[in-house]
Amino acid sequence: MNKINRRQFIKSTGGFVAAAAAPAVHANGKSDYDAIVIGAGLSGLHAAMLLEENDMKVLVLEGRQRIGGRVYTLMHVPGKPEAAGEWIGGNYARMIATARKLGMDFWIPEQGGPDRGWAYEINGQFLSAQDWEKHPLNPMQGEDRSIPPHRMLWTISNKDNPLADQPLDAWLKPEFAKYDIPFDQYLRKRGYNEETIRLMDVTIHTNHISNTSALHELRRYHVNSFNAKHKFYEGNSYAQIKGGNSLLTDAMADSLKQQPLLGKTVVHFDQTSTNASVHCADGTKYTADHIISSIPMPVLRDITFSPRLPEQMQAAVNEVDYGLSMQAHFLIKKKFWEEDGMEPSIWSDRSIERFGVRNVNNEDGPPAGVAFINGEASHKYRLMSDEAIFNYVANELAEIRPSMKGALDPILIQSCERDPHGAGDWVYWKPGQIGKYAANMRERHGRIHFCGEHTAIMERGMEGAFESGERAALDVLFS
Amino acid sequence: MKRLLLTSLVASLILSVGSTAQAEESSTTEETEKQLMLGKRAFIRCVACHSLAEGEAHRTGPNLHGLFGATAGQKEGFAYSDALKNSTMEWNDENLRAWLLSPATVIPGNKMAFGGVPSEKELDALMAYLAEMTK
Ligand SMILES: Cc1cc2nc3c(=O)[nH]c(=O)nc-3n(C[C@H](O)[C@H](O)[C@H](O)COP(=O)(O)OP(=O)(O)OC[C@H]3O[C@@H](n4cnc5c(N)ncnc54)[C@H](O)[C@@H]3O)c2cc1C
Repeated sequence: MNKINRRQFIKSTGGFVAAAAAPAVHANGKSDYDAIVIGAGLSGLHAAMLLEENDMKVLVLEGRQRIGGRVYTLMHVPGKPEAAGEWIGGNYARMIATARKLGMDFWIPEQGGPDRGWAYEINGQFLSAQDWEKHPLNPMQGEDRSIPPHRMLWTISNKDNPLADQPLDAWLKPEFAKYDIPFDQYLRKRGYNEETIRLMDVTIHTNHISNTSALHELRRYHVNSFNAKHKFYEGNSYAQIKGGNSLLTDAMADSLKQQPLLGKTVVHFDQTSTNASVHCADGTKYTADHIISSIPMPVLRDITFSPRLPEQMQAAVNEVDYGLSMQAHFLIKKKFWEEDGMEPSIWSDRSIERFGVRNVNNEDGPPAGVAFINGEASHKYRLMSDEAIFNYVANELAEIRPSMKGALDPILIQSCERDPHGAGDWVYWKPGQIGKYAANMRERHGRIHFCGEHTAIMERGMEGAFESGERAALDVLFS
Repeated sequence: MKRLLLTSLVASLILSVGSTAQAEESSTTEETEKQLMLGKRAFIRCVACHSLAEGEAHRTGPNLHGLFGATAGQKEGFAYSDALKNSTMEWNDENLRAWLLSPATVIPGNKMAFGGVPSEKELDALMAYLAEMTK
């Protein structure tokens, strides 16, 4: 074959060799599909797209009545905030390429982000950002005093990060196992005082700073720094999908030949030597040569496998938790920041934690705000009704800042945890769990393969989801 | 008689030689094509970052046209890490294989986020595919 022909041959998906190299479709006549993918989040959708592109017959089953999983743009809330996966980093190669392929644009919406104006409430005192550096409540020394409270977690965690300049999979290497210890212990060893550690704990998504592995946190900031090396949108190393990240997951689902089935909650997996099946809560059963599950680990606790999961994997499913958060969205009826002359948004060490304001100048609709409560502080909201949460949060805010009295109208409550198909925000490894479990999370169980952000090796968050979907799809294609 | 025998012998010889060569050629073509199809699948790991054809845009990583024999980190219009730019490494068979197993080991501090090809079989296929597609 000459060069041109060969290229064309490779580019087209047909040809006798394609048939010979690809697992034969319906090889044993016992499966309806080559592969079934559970979950229409980023990882599942990416896996399904890759398998279809390689001529496989694929079915995606999604438990919720919507596509996207932990990508969820609140399209009807002013400013269209992202309820979950928000920032796309410069190193999110798969996500960026997929978005471009599907004709999406990027943007940096006017939402303020980390650099919006924050006022602080610390130990009951309400203060402006400009007063922080010299304020007696500032617990830090030297140049650290200029780090504002809402940047302490990020900046201090990433200072002299032992993972810096290491490859992104270094967190799994034995030489770094010594950092698989409680994060507060790591910080204390580095000389940070208790008040600094307490303020760093405020917005951590994990269940208290002592309950997350330092190695997990160091990895988080290591990956973030790596993202800053690549610029992709108007010279920036971060952006979002223009119009909302949900447009991407919707377009990914639309691009599939076989549309995902919604409302299909998987409750049981079984497999024989020839195929594997999933059983859904509505009594339906689907069979395929391979299954890829993107179900988050804590949700897997309620799902049964026959034969059972290997012991180590089951132990991980039982023990590994996800970070938690709760969002209370409000419409802002009056510009209270103009009344008191302070910054619009609030960062606080009491249990409302953060109130972020969008559309300060009516850029994209009326002003709106979200109380964003992470980690153990979110526990108290678990059993409260929406109405009780709105009242509680509004009262707390009015207590911090009298100008906010009567300023808020409730819109909605959002939490990935308050949903049977969501486990929380993202995996967090407790001290010791990286060494114990992180290496096993992506091992296949016979014909069942696992993907999802929690199984990523190099990347985290949304790109971690893509990476894991790619890895699972390749496991299927090469098996 | 003798002549006739010789002619038919030569004819059959030619025929048999011919058919063996043909069979060999078609089986190597088949092997190569199979390898390239596997390589195309292995390239799923790369395609988000790298385009292959001449003149195609850089992505998160640089375009790979003319890879073999080129000096690393020198393609125009791509912001390489200093580590790669200053490496003076040539992309030959040996260096590229090592790179694809662990780029961070070959040139520490480069900005390619790649965990490595997991098997020799896949690596062979990927190398064959890259050789073909970056010409
Ligand atoms: C508040 C918040 C902020 C975030 N911010 C960022 C950010 O800025 N940048 C970033 O990169 N990442 C961010 N993330 C993380 C990112 O959103 C996730 O890592 C990523 O979207 C996870 O994708 P996934 O495919 O692994 O899981 P999911 O999207 O959770 O997909 C799993 C799917 O499986 C479905 N499912 C579950 N159980 C079943 C069942 N039994 N049967 C059938 N279907 C089932 C679920 O409904 C879901 O659709 C954030 C997350 C949260 C919550």
